[in-house]
Amino acid sequence: MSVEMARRGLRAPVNVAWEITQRCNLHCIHCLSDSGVPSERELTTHECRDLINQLAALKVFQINIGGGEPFLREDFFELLIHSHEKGLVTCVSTNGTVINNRVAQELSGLKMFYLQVSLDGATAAINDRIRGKGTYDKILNALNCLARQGVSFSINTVLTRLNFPQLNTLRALAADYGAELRVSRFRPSGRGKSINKYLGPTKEQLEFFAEWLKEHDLVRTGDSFFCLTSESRRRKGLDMCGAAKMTCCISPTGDFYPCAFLQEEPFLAGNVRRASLKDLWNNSAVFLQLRNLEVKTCTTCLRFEMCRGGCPAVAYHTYHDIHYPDPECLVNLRIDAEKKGTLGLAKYSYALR
Amino acid sequence: MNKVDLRYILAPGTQVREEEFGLLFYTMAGPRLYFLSSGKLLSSLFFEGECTLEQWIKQKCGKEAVSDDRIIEIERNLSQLKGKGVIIEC
Repeated sequence: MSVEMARRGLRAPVNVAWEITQRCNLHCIHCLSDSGVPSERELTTHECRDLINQLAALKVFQINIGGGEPFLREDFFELLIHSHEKGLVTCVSTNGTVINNRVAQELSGLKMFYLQVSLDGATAAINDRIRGKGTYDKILNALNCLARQGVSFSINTVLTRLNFPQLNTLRALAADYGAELRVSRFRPSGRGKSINKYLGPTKEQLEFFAEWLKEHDLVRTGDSFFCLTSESRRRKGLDMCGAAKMTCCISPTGDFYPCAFLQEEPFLAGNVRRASLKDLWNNSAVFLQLRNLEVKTCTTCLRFEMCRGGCPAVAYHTYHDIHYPDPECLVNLRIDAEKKGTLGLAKYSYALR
Repeated sequence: MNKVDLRYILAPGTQVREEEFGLLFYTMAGPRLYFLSSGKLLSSLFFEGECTLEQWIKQKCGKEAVSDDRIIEIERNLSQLKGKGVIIEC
């Protein structure tokens, strides 16, 4: 029932992914936003406050703030506090490198606040290949600062070919901090496009990961892996793509998209400087298209109720067409494995650390 | 106490808003969403805890306009939301 309600489209987003700056002090090889140098004409403090007011007026529940590195904005705490005063829950994704004791202490006073710290390997050897030399130590320092100040956080790992063997160690590392491990899906957008063949998990890894998730109930996946979700995890998140139905994305310059992974010209609905959020959400052609998207080849699949065609962004970045099925859904993976004769997972059990 | 005599407020960390199908709840625990298929019968103000479901419906729509079965169904759904910690009795 709830899926049907959501499919019809809601009056406003449930949550909004807001890339609040393009500026970043790291150059992660898989960055979905290709962050680094700040965009020209990023939203000013005044414009950001106005946007927050609009989100609150629409009764959006949560803002997922990312970037770039949000903490590099000088007005970031002001905007966080303004969001909370307006009743909006915030979830901030950070690379952790600018979190010290002082920042952690400031965060410790915030309510209505979640924090995700990115870590892409359980060792410096793996993490630093993805996020840059020296980042592993800086991230662990951030985790220690946060833990000392009693700030709760989750560790967010983008599943890649490189860190797949470290899933158990990453889970244990998170547990040592009393934190949840959140595993996100690698999508070939931003800088991830050019590195996909090298970094994207293999099909066998994804197939194994689907089994691994069944045994690790406390590992979270957000909305990342519904294409692989087993029946036992169905109630843990959405069973479909939420883009344009429950969520949307705002870029540092105010561009409005259905999803952070579809920040491409064909999916640009407009800009919050020139149109109201309400109008963009309700009336833009791109959003209506996503709401009515039906991946016809999937409708007869036994898993259709569990993924509804999977992630349109992965389909788009793979086939340049969102009407194609998710190439990494469990059914497609198994068909592929049967063809290759690699169906069966035992050979991977030794590889996980 | 008759079940429809209950009054409810939102649990801490819960927010609610009106949608075409009824009410959409968001809880920080999770975070998670819950849907209440109540159409236009309830609004977020119901969760100020000032009146029972029966009183609310009588005031807002005139009880005769809503069948007893429908009231019982909504009350059952409210009870389920209470069981999940989304709303609490007051």
